Amino acid sequence: ATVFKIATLAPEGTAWMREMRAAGEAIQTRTEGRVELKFYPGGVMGNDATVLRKLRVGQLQGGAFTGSELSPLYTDAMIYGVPFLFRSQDEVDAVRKVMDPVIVRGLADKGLVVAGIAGGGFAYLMSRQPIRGRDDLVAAKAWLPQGDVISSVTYEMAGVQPVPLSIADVYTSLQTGLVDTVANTPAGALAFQWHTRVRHMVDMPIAYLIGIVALDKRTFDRLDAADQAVIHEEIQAGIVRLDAQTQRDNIAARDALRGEGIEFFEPNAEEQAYWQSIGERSAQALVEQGTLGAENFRMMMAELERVRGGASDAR
Amino acid sequence: MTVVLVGLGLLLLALLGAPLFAVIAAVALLGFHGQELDLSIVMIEFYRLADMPVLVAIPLFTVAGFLLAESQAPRRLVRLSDALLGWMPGGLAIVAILTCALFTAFTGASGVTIVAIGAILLPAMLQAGYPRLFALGLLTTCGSLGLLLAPALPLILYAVVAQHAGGAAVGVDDMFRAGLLPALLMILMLGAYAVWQGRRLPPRPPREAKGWQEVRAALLDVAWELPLPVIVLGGIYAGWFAASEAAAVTAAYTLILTVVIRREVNLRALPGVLRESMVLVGAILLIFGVSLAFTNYLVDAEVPARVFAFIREHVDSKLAFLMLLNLFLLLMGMCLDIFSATVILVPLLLPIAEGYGIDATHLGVIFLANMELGYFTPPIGMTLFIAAYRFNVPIWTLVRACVPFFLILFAAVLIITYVPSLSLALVR
Amino acid sequence: MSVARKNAWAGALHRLEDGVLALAVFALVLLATASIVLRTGFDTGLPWLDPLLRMLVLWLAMLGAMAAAREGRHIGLDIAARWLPALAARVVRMLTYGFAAAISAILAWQALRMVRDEYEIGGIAFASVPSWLAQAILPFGLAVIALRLAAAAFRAPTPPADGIPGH
Ligand code: NA
Ligand code: NA
Repeated sequence: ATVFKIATLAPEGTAWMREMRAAGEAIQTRTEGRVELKFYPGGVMGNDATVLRKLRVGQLQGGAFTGSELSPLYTDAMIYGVPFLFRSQDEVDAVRKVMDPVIVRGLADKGLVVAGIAGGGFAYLMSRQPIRGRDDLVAAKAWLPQGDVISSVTYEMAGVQPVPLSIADVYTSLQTGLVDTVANTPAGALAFQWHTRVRHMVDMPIAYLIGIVALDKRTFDRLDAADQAVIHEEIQAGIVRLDAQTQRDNIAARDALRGEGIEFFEPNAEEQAYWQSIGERSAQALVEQGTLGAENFRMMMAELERVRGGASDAR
Repeated sequence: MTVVLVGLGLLLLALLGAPLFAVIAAVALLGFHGQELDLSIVMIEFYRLADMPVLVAIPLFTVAGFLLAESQAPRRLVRLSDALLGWMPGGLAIVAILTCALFTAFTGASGVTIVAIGAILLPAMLQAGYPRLFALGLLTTCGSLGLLLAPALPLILYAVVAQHAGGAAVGVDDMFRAGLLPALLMILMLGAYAVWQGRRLPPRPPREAKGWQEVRAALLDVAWELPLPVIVLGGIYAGWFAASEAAAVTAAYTLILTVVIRREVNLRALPGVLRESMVLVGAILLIFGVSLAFTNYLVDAEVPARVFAFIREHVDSKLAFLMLLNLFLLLMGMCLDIFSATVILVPLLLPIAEGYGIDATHLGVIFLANMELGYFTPPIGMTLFIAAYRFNVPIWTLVRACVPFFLILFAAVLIITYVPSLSLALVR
Repeated sequence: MSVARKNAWAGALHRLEDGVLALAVFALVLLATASIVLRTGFDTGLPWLDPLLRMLVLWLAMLGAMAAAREGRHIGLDIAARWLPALAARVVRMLTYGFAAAISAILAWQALRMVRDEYEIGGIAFASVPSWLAQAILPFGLAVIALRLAAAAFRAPTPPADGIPGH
């Protein structure tokens, strides 16, 4: 049998692992045992950089990554991370139809086959003190995810001096007051227990998170076309189930956050314009410094405008 | 067949004194070779040492411990506790227990305690009329007492390894809190024995019992060192600092204290002391690095899952598992030093123990408490060797001297094992 | 080269090595403290400080391990050295340290392969420091350790002092 050893940071027992294992079993059955997926959850194979090294030397044949984790290989893998870009899930869905294939092609050139892309939902800004605009934001002790280029540029554009930390240290740092402002999906904030340390949330999506299941192309290409198709189908099916679950989780998490007494702040039109201006300047800077591909960025914006134009026509 | 032979060969090499890192690396290399995998994985795993933020605390606390050991701090500590407690029955023995515990917490149970404090206290205890075997046994035992007290290196190392092993989150701060009550239990039990032993001894000569005046003088004498336990204990237990921050402050303060304020470590000697401390750090982390590769080979080959399935089949209760664990750790503690044992065994034990519903933090305390016994059990016991060298007595005399202390601490270990709340009360 | 000259060279090299090690410790203490001052005093941090500290720990570990190898003081079970007669102890020493030197050499080679791979990929460790440079201490340090252990294999075992490194 061809074995794909797949590493992921998600712990055992999460919805993610449940669906991935289900997909793995379906693949094994449907290929009559010719293809086997073995999972190494909980980060036992190391962080993203280590997993990429192990993919190169052939210890692993796959991994689950965020867009920004794959950006060292292909920068535009993190293109959905452009801040304050999307306003609704519908916009994301439309743009992904156009841009997902671009990401898939870009990673294929780097020797990775994308078996599926899961949607993690929108990240929101959560803080101890209310953040209503520029002054509040500049005064915040904001967390900068280590190695996250887009967030780094965004904070720079907003005039914020963020505190760089790995995600594992965020909870303690919220406790000690080292940081008081973080960004995550509602479900993520609940899972990491951050909700116990923040009181306010800006109810305006910052960025869209994705999880990419990538397989080693050398190993994948050795399979016959039928087995390859089975892998794509089953992982995709797992991701569809997962996406539905994630969306439900995030909606439930919003209610839970409200229940915990977290105040949702809805920016008015003027404030929204302020946030969006930060987003636009960040995107421009990212394209100018070559962190994002200019052509791909234009393509994404064109599609976004088309969707928005369509939406306003319908109104 | 070949596998067994190679395994026996490596075991023999280890027993004959081959550096442990090489033995572990050899197992990892052979393992990956057997799986037909690229051998550079061993070094990819090794390089994960640079991915662990908490690891920074290890060299920092080690530097602080070595500088303190080089200074007059041990003498001042002994003086203060003698002034405070020397008057009690068994007072001098209690002084030994407390100073050793506190000092070991700072020197990371690297064996420095016996060199720094044992040598001061042995003559004093003999002079005060304690039986020679009692004094030797007590000081040898106390050489590792306090390794459950913050900021002892083994607590940090356990947290790092446990986090790395992908178990439930174990913070360094959690371990620091969890170790406190168990350490106090050990100190109390040894203290009670010391009082009982000291009850028939003649009272200390009056010239040594100077009362409050001496307490004041001793306090003034130790004034500059007093902030250290405050930084570490207050800082961590009260939540002012993260562990790695407390480590940085401790190292910086100790450096200034011993070199600039006290001038007990002169500038010419300083590079030597720093170097010595890094020799210990290097020796530990080299073993840790190759152990990462060894563990990764086991994970890759799905060994922990199989071992767990096997144990699960034969051991059905948590209690039975804990009893087996105690026995196993006692055996391991006899042969392995605490650092190697931690990095090799914890990744294997953690998932299994969690399967039996044992808290990862509690497991850490059980593990380290067991390893503390290993310091003075034959055949390999770090403090046995150091004490034999320092006090110039045969190892077997020390082993005999340690028997009652072993029994007391073993009882403490059992209490720690079967009363989880002792470890967990301060954590949550 | 005469023995005396050789020893002088070795002495100078060892002093240089100790100096570098001491400086690295100073750097670690300074940078770690600076990081706290920045965080608590100025509510800020430098993105590269934390990864730099972690890299420094790796470098310190390797420099320390090199120093340990210089005197054959790696952690091991040294019962043999305590209880074996002198001649047997010498043979055992040759065997065990020869083995350790060989393993270290293999590790050094594998580390070099990793560094070469990383160089081709062009990964970044932090700021503009490439990962291969951060990793470079590994093949270098392990090669030095291999050489030193090989040399120690032919020396008579030192009488066991404390049993562990650090004294
Ligand atoms: Na020592
Ligand atoms: Na032992």
